[in-house]
Amino acid sequence: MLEIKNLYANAGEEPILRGLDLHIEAGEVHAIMGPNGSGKSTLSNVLTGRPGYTVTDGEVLYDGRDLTAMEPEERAREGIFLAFQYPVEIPGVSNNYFLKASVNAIRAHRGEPELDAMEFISLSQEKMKAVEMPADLMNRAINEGFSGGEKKRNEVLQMLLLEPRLCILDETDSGLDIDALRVVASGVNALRSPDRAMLVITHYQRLLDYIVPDRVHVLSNGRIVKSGDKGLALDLEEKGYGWIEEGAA
Amino acid sequence: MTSAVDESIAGWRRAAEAFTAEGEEAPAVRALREQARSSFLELGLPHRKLEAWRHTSLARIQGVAWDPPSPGGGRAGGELDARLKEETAGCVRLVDGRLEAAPGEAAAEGCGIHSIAAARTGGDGHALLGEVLGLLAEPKLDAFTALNTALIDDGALIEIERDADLARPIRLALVGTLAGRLACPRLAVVARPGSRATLIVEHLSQAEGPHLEVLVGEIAVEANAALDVIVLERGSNESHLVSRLHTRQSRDSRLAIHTLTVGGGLVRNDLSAELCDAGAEIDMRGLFIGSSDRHVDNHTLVDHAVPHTTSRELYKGVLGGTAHGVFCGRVVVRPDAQKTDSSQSNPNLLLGERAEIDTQPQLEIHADDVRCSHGSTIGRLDEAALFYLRSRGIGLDEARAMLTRGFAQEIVDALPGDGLRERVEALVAAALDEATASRDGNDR
Repeated sequence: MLEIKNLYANAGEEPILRGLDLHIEAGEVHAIMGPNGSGKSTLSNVLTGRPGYTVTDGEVLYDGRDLTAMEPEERAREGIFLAFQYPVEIPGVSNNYFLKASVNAIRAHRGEPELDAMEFISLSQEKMKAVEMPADLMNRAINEGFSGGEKKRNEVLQMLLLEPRLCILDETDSGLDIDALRVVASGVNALRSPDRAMLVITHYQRLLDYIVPDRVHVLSNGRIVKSGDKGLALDLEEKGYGWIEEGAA
Repeated sequence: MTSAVDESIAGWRRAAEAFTAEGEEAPAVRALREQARSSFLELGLPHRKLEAWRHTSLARIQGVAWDPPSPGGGRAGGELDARLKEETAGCVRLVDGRLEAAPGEAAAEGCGIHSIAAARTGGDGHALLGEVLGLLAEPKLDAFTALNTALIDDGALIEIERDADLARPIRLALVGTLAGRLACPRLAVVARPGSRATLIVEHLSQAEGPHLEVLVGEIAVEANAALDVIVLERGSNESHLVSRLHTRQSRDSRLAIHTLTVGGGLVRNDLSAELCDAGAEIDMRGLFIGSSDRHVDNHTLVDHAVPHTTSRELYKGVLGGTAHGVFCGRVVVRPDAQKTDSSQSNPNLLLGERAEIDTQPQLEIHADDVRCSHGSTIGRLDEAALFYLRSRGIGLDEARAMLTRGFAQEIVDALPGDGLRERVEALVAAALDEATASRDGNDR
């Protein structure tokens, strides 16, 4: 589903990714771990097309198509979803209005009829239950004044509503207490399916107790330096990143 | 003095000199008119060397050979077309400065609406007119106030009775129908003690060609009264508006003035508020939206004249194309006015690369035990927010429109909920979409 070959990318002017290779098939859950500054967030930004990030070499193929040529909204409509590390607060735009516009933009792209207000409400109520989100958050401005946990629930709610094919979770565990983490993880796990892939980016092993990956990769200095099964995450937890970086040097 | 300027307003000068109002006028009105006439002849039109006009050129007004209002011209205004008739149904209409029909019919219980043309010649409402006319609007200092006063012909005189609680808003529509015509409507409002009301003043145009409306309004809010005023300015690009509203408030009164500018070629709003007794509170809110080459200038003045008064001010500007916005907010706290509580904020959103905003807070604080804050910002759409929306499948244009509407929403949300909210919201959304579409200076 996703094939990254020898990817070099800049954040602004600064080279961050330096020859990254990654291959993810439908049905798989991959985790990317790495210390701060290793390029984890740059990878998620490059995959979703955030302005300011440029690919300087290599290629990114999504279902065999060149992902880097697509606008961010096209990628979303084709099924790529990023759960943001820091979801943006947008005053004056209600969460409900935004989510309905988003769902309908994606439905339109898939050739499905748009949901009317009533249909959207019943859909969103069902999904909100799954992430234990209070009803009033729908009528508030997007993420405005939401707690850290509410923001992350809102991200997972969007993921449940949009039913993407490739889910990228960027440090979704940061700022969450253990209860919120459990709720968020169960929302994510509900989406696991044979035709959907997930890329879980995290600094800590903790999240992977709840979202169990098929593969774990260690990112260091802009490259994958080690890959393994879920046991690799436990090794990292025990020995720290220094062990890998020394080995890679 | 250039001859072009002289030429364009020569008609006004002649009219001011020659104006004889229809009917036998009350001596006080005649005296005010004569004083205003000499002030106008002395002042001429303002120019950019004057501090208050530094950012606003009157070139597009001066380029027109204007017809003055026809003195005592009876029903000078043209016929309204079907669209405007429908949009102003239920309004007291001032067509080219003249009250269209007997306003009594539009008045609700607890509220009297009179024609100024009748009141100034000893008719209905003459005592009330004597009480408010010229009370707050000083012709000596300002050419447009002088012009309007010298040419007073008609307008609306409104009294909200003591303790009345009006169920429905009072709606006025100022409509320009005649091209090349100056109209000078006048507005005088008294909210008696303990009353509660909403007044909506809408400015529209159907003139095929330039039209200029010079509005002067005086609004007195007496003790414990609460008044909401919504000024909705939505003339065409060739329809220019100079509006000067003066307010005065008594003890424990509350006044909210919402000025929404969604149309008009050149619009200049002056709002001057006097807080004259303890407990008086004013909330000034503005939303000005510019697209193509519109020019919108807001000047506000709050005078905290006594202790324990409050002012809140929030003006938001959204400018696309080559539009030019101006905000100048002056707050004066007099030496005795301790415990003044004042805040002012003017955030602006620039959508066009060539759009312009001049923002200028002016605080003059002469008391020491006060709480005063002010701030202004000029920004563009938040890139992080744009990306967030796009990453959810929302297209770039729609994402821009959503963020722009979100920026303005705070002003719309504060409007009193009286059934007009949806319509205002639609007008604002249309103006914002136009400003968004003309963000690069070329309408697409």
